[in-house]
Amino acid sequence: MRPLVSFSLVLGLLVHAEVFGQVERSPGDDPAPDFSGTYVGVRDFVRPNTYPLTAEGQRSLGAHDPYAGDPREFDCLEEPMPQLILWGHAVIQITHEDDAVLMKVERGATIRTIHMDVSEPLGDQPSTAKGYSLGLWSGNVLSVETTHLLGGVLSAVQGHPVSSEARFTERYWRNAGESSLQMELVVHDSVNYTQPVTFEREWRLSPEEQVQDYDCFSLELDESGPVDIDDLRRRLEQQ
Amino acid sequence: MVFRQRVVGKRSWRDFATLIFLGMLLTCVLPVAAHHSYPPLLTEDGEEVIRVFDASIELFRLLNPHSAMIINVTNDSGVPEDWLIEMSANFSLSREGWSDDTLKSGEKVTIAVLASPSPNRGRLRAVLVPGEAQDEPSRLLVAYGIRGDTPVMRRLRDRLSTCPDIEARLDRSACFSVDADTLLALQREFPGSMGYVMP
Repeated sequence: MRPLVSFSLVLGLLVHAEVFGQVERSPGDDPAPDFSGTYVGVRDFVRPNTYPLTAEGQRSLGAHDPYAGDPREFDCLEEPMPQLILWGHAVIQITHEDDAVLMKVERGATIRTIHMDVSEPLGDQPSTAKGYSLGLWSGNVLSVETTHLLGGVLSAVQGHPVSSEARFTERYWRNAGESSLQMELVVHDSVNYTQPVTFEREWRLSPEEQVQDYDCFSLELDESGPVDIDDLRRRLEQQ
Repeated sequence: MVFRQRVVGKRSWRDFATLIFLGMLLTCVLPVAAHHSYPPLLTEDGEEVIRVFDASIELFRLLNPHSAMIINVTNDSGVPEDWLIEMSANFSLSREGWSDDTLKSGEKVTIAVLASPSPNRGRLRAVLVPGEAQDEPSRLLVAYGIRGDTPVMRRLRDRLSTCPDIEARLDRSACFSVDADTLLALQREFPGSMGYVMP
């Protein structure tokens, strides 16, 4: 009798372990795909046809003057999300580390860290132009959630606003048999939009490309008057 | 890492996926390209002001986020002026074959620029650079307002060959080779200062 009980107990434990394991195993337990490589963003990407603006969003959009000067363009400030990855000509290099996926973005020589080893940002996480990004593998899809943003606009020209309370979710995946990465970026910003706003972009794997050095030089233009050519000449000659 | 994924999954994954799904359902999409702003000088009719100069290139640098050129011109009153001419970023132009030597200090050129409200600032629309030798063709480099699939670009592509060392693969610029006879023909067909690059 005792051997039978022992056998049943062991069998039960094995079955339980298998069932429990299946229940607890997330798709991310399988080896995650390797997205390492250099990619060039396809120039024509997909953005909303219409933006479901709230009253506050309409007010902010109406107040935006695309010609009032975009300090990011001339003053070498950090490029904010999501403009960082929605530029017309964008080159990124993706590398995988134990606890993070790194996106090296050529424009602005920006390193974007997608944290894969923590469940949520620290309580005192500061807000930045890039925000704080958490990643999660779900099968073959890398999902990213970005918070702690400074706020601003989705695009300097169009001027659709982003509040500091906004949250971006991105998904990256490869279609079967393709080396390109597909991206979907959704803006969740109830301050400015009544519904999520979605962008889509393809990133072509481009082994022949390299992320070039990005030495930024501010022209330091004051749009209210003539360009100080003497000062500009001096700075350019020293450059 | 596995533990973290489970924690995240229990906490918010279902809401996260639901929001993505709702976003896909509720948002219509169209293709466009992103770009940044530049304050153009506009006429009363809202047209961009294009100015054409005979100029001397003083300095040219490929830079990020905008390349820069200082040119010396003589204004309509005969007074010398120095202008800043902006161009696309180094990371784009260098991929199309540009270098700091593409435009050399001291070269005498004819240049068309999109003027800005600042009185001595513009963006390069087109520059005609004569060949160094008498029988060497000129180079016509084009940029803002022309590049891409535009009527002016189609006009130029129909009539001119491209330069061997600049490839317009990013649509930031283009370069055409223009011999003396072809230039004369262009000037007859499209009269006016650099009429062949005007809208």
